[in-house]
Amino acid sequence: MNLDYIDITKFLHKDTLCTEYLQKNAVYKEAVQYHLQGCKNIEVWEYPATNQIRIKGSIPYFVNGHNYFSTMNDWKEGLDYIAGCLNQNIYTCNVNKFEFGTIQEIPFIEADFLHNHIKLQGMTVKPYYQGNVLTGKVFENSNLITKLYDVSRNIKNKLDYSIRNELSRAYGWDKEKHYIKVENHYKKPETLFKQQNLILSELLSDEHLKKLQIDLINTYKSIMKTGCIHIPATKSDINSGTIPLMVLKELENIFDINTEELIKQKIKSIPDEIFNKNDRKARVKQIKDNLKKIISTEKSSYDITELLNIKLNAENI
Amino acid sequence: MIQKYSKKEKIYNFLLETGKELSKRKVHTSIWEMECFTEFEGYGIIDERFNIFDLLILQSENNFTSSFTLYLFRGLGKPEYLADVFQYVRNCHKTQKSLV
Repeated sequence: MNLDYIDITKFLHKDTLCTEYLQKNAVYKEAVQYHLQGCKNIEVWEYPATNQIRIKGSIPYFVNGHNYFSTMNDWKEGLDYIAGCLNQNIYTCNVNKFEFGTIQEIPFIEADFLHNHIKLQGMTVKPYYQGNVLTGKVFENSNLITKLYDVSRNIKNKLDYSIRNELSRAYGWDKEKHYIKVENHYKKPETLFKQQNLILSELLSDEHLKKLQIDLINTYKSIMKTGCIHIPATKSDINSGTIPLMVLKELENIFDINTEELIKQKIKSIPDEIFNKNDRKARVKQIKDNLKKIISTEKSSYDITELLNIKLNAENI
Repeated sequence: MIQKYSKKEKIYNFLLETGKELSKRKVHTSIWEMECFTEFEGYGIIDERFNIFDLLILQSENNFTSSFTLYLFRGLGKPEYLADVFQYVRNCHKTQKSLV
């Protein structure tokens, strides 16, 4: 579990920005955009009117060329290098936004995993597709963006062959296996840490990183999941009547509904001219028989909370 | 990578030059990093040999290119006080920043 993208700002007061190691990218009315020479991963914005700088980018990508895994030493190396180029102490920068996440190997196909993660209370949800394949889901509110996405695709499509080899050698990445990225993007970090402003040095402290790990797992836990229905073992138990009931049963907890009650009410509402008493009884019995074939468990089979907990404990040993 | 002086080298050079002049080598300190407070370049204790334990905290907003700040806390250079003193300086900085 590690930090990834950061967006930080600093007022320079009487100092001036050293642009010797920067490459000018664009000039806007109120800002000049640079990136580090030979590296587009790190953007440096200068606001001359307020003598302020803003640095955006992924330090793991900058240092390692990937964000599969990074250590605090990687972070220190990257930040010290940037600080050296800009001649600024960037550890005192205010943190505007940042991402914290992890890549987790999962025992399911990524699209199936994503299909079974439905809703997060108080957040909007947006699915992302490539063609017809679901590749990501983004849950968002005003403070936080939680992303779940198929990271194998990113690794295969975005990273060079040499880096992919390095991932296999150093971290055991296997292109045949399935991986998902779980990530929290904090839009207002101060609300999480309940403090007025957060500086970069504080964000990198063990205490704050621990909070982020726990928050990531808690956020993941609170995603409402389907996949808590045991698929019947025999073909005869899965008829065209059981399948919609299985779907409805899965949605019960998420939408707080009672499948059986809803169906009974629907049958009751059918006029007497169409259904007599016996028709109703027969239909209810049929539905009940079908419902008996469906066994649900409390926990979704697609829930990876335990895998994340194992990872967290392993990291903290 | 561009060849640059490391933070340690810069601090060392600075102390070497100014230390020689100011103290005539009567008191001295090494500079150590404080792990959880990376915004500070480091701290020193003047001077354990004489049982004084004054704490120096060194910080520069511009990587020692044009200015630096040296904080002196008399008698607080003992391990049990360090974290609290660093936290105090950090809080003072943050308060100043929020007033800007």
